[in-house]
Amino acid sequence: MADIDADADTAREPWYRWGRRVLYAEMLIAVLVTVFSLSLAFMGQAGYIA
Amino acid sequence: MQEKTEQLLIATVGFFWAFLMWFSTAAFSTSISSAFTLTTGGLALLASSALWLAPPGRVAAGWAADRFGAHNIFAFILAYSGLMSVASAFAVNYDVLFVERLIVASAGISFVVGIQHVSQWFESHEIGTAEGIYAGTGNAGAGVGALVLPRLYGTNFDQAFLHLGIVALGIAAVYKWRGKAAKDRATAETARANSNLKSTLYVWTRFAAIGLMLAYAMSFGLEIAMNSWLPTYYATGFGDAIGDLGFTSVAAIQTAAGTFAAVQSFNASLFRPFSGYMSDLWQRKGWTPYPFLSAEQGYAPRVHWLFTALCLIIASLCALSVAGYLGVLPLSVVILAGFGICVSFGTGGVFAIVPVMFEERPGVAAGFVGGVSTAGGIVYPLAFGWVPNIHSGYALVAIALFVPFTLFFVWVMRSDRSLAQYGIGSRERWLGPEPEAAPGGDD
Repeated sequence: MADIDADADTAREPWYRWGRRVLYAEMLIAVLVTVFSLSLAFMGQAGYIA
Repeated sequence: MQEKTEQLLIATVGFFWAFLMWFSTAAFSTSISSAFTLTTGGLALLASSALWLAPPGRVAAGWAADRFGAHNIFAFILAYSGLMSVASAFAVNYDVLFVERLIVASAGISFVVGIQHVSQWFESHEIGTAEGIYAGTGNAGAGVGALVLPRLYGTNFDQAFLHLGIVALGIAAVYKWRGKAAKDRATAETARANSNLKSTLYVWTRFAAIGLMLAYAMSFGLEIAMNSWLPTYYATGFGDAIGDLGFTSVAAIQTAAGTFAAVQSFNASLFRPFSGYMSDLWQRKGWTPYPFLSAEQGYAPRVHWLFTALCLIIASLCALSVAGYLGVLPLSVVILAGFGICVSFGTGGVFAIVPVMFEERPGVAAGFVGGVSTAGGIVYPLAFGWVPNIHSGYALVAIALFVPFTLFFVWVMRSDRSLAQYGIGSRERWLGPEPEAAPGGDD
């Protein structure tokens, strides 16, 4: 019960809401870098980096 | 803004910049080599020197954070490394530059100071997410440096070092001005009172601390090893495949190989906060799926999450070897992305446990776990390069080192015994009888 209460308290805190947004944004950046590298590996389109 | 949010923000920005400076030498290694006409051996020495001071430095920094307050120590580290970075911009010969960059690279020891700082402000049920955001965002400094610095400064590494140093001095001033050691005086006093030699030896001799240190060697130690190894691996092991894609000049092959390598660095860094969040989630839900691990400890679900991560690291490392033998470059890059995520699960998982397990000695424990494990960054590339076939090094390290590490971890974490009872020597042996011990007890 105490854990559930702590969970609810944490979820209400402003820092936690912003923290989760940061967390998702960082994962999105990682995915984009991965997609860029994969496009390089599959197609060899080096663009400006070559 | 909440005060603890401000402390998290300061620590995160400070660590990001420290990490950027730590790996900024590597980002300009080609330019430095050209400017000072270095041999291949000299270049390798410069690259590996970035890690030399991390193991002992982190141990000392963790203790100092408990003793003098994280905000003071972090500001001090940023100040001296910033000053040295400015000085390195004016180095006229290579020997001076090498020593100055060695000192700048020691900015990486600040990791354990920030871990201690965050742990002094956040509660146990939210510590995984908070430490994950701090460490994951900070770790991304290495990848950002590798991608951005050469494009921003070209071959002008002296200008880059100058600007990095000046900004570091600014962050150091803000850290000292706005930083506070802990959420209250009692928390800071407890950490300070427990920062003595006997207390340190007590932490070092706990089997759980050794298990976590090995888990961090399997994750973060491997991450930094791969940062330095992967560009060489792709340029050598997939040279023909990269050539078939149209990258023919040496510079183009190196750039392409570096871009593939960045997949690991970015995923391992930027998924780390998610791992901390998952550790918090497992803890809240009370998930303990493995019958051979203890479910009785207060932090047991976090241990079960970490064990999942360790198994995934071993599996993905072996898969990298298989993709290499098959010679399929896209498959290798896909597996590398998954591998980076698995590594982040390990790094985030370990430091969601350390501050909870060693609540009264967070700096000393973080120094031991985060410091000694960094030696992996030096050892693994030697093993990768030692085997005759460049693709088999990953499987070798996984089977010869990581399987025994994981078995030790399981052996430690299967026990329901308390931290105080489970180690080399009892709590009384190191800390004396209970009434005379320093406040707190980590058990």
